[in-house]
Amino acid sequence: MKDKSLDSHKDESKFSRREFIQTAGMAATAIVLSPALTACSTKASGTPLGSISGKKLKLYMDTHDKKNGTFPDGITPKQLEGFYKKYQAACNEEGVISIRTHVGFGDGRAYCFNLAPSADAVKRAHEKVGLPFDSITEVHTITPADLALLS
Amino acid sequence: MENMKFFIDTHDKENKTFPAEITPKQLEGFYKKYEEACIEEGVISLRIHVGFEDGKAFCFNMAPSVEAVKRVHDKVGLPYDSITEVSTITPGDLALLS
Repeated sequence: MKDKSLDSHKDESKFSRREFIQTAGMAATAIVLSPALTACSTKASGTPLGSISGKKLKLYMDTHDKKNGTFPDGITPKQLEGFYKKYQAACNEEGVISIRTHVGFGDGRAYCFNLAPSADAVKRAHEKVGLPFDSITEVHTITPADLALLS
Repeated sequence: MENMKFFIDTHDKENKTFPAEITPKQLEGFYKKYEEACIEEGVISLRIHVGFEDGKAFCFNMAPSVEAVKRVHDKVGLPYDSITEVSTITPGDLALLS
């Protein structure tokens, strides 16, 4: 049982790395047509299409704002890079795939995109690193190219 | 092309900046108008993520300025909560840019 759980953890890490490599190629334009995103975005019906380790994954967006005390005011990109490693470790433990994090350093806001089996898993990843949040929302991608790919 | 930056704007039905009962089909029609306004203002709509249950939307755009994103919203009569210029700090993205 222990071995099985270790194996599945390893698989998740592998998937996550592959995902980063695939998405990195398009980072400059941020037009992300990564398989995980397209596969796990959902149709209008809301049926999740992707899965990892047998769990269905959905797309979530969480928000942070210094005005609400949910974004560390004054954090530098370098500091955030160190923090991100801890966050990613927590994501791995909770079966969450961190797709992209967008930060407005000027305004003190952050928007994180994750693939996760549930909003609770995203919540737990945040709690593990002591990062508060304003909201976690399950989202669908409705931009035409995404809809077209899925239809 | 002008120097483009990334922006995320937010909408929430609790603040009346997202039409509470809109369906995916209706949104598709609306998006066409929105995209036309984007083209007029030199804005590139990259992705829109909508939480239908929570009544929230997050739009990811490339634009020359925050004013251009504002004008697009004004043109289609769509209010918003915030427009934020963002950097992408996920490691794969940072590695490519360094």
